[in-house]
Amino acid sequence: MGKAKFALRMLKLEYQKTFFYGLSLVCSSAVIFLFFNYMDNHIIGNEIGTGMGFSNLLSLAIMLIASATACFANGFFLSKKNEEIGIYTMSGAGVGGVSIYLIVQNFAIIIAAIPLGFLIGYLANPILNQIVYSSLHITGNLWHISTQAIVMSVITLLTQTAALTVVNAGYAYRHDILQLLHFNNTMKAEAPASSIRMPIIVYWVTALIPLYVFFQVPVASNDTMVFLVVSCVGLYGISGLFKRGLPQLFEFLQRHFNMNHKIRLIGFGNLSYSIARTATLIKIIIVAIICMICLCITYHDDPSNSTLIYFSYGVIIFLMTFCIVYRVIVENSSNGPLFESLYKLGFVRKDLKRIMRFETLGLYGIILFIPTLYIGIILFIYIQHGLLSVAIAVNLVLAYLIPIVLVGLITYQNYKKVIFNYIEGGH
Amino acid sequence: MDEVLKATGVEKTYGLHTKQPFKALKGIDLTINENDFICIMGPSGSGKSTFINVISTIDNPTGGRVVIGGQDVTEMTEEQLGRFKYENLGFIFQDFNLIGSLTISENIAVPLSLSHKSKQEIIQDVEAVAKKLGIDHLLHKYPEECSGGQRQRAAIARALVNQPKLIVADEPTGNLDSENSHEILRLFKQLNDEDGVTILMVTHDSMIASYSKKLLFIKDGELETTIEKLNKTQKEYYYEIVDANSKESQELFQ
Repeated sequence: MGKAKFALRMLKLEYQKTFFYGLSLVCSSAVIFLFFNYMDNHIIGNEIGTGMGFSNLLSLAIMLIASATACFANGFFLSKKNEEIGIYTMSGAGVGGVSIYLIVQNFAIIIAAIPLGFLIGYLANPILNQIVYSSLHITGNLWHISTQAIVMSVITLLTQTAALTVVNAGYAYRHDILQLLHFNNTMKAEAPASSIRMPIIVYWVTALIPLYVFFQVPVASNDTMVFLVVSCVGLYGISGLFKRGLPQLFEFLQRHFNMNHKIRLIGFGNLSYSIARTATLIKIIIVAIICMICLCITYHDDPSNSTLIYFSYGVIIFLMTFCIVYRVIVENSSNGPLFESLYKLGFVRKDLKRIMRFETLGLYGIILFIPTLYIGIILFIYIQHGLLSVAIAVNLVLAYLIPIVLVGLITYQNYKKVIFNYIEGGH
Repeated sequence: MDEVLKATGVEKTYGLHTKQPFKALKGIDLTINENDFICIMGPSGSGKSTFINVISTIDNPTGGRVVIGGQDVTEMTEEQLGRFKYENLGFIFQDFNLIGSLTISENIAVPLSLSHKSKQEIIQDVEAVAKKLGIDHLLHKYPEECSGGQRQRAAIARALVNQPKLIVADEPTGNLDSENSHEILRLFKQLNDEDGVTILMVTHDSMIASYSKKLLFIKDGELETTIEKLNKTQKEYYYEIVDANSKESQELFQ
């Protein structure tokens, strides 16, 4: 049997492992298709490549985020296939053979997912157009599809595919057989990455400075750049807090207050580990949310641009939440041995669920709390100056709050399922 | 001597309601008394790990009874079983199973956190057991920063900190080099001889098994041979274990 045929046969036999990956590609294809159709809808005066400088930037941002989402989903897909690839390697397949195996499987999924995504996008397009047209008080063809949009969607998805091909081709090269067969990572304390160690107080001060500076800067209805810059300064501090400040704080709480608390003793350790492992993604999400909300405030009284920005904001939140789900699910699935040990030591299911809830609530609480702290103040200042309505501010906050809360619930349900399956012998 | 554990007719069948059920344990009886040091050996797939899991409440038997400290563990609810585990049993695993995100001190404190002790009591107990095992200088380190032998000592400290009735060790030296393995076994022997700790251990290694007082050899889910050390030297006991272990191979050459 040829390599390609074997890869396709295995894909068919183990289709359950690819379900989430396929679903994420279908969703991202549908969202990208809808986004570019909106970007190139001449009925509402949008045209890709002409006039709107920031619309091209938004297109680029969407392309990059869509590719990043696909890479995260691909990472999850590969982690499920480790044992399979390990056995294939042990059977004599070289780096080239494994690369072909993964690329063929990936292409098969992509070939099925993209047309399906486009079809869903095509069917959802009239609903979106209806909302946009009615908000702009215009009438037009609800089934409007732009050729340029199809081309842009295809380019974006090809970029995604190229990125995935590179990742897959390098996968076998970067892992040896033992790593593949025993991929079950367990928690390890993170070593400090840098030799230059800033005092932690510097991070706390830098993260908290914006809360004061926001109230001191001049407020203009169409310029939020200064708020964005101040937020970015604060993000340096937040970044340091993720790396060292929060783990140290949790360690302090663990050691001095929670040695006799069975849930918090384990929960703080897990939370600290989860934050360290997802810090980069959390930072990207915080930056994206703050940037998009600043853009939304700047253009909120410009109907044609504001709809485009709101839509982009929605697309970015959608893709980002997919990224979080993947990242957290991959991390959680490596916690099986830890929870199994706790179960053996005398923790009961109720305790294990409480630990998982503590960890999930803590992680998503941080993802929500930090941007809300900055955004809340920025929005408050704009409302106070009469430059933004309370309704718009609430909608902007709810637009990221609701998806992240939903994602938190999904993660918690998945966490429980993965861990209890592991304990009951599913590993 | 007080009886710590009594297993009667323990059976375990996998795939009970399938077309091809597999009987991993076929009615094993075992009594463990206080201050016993029992070792279980057997070829791969003989059922030794299943047996140790069943009698240490990690897995449920499909037949028979397991009574520890006078309580039938097969009739307990999950809550009762959880409480029973941290009050009566101490577990030591092959791959240590320490929690990477906790320091050694916090790892040792985990079973104590279940027992509603005060923070001060927990710290005192942790420090005492760590000192006894010679790892008090490692208390603020993470498992990743310790050697294999140090990690296994920490796991032993975690198993001992609640002063359990029985220590259950599943291949405790499986991930250690021979020097660390012997060091750990000397520690087990010392705990058994001097502190009266009751130990039930599974191993593949005859030399490691020779530290015990009694050996149970399991084959095909049944107890095949029992060897007691009694007044034999460790060397004599070791040769007897090797002999029992290689019985099948010897028969092949006859």
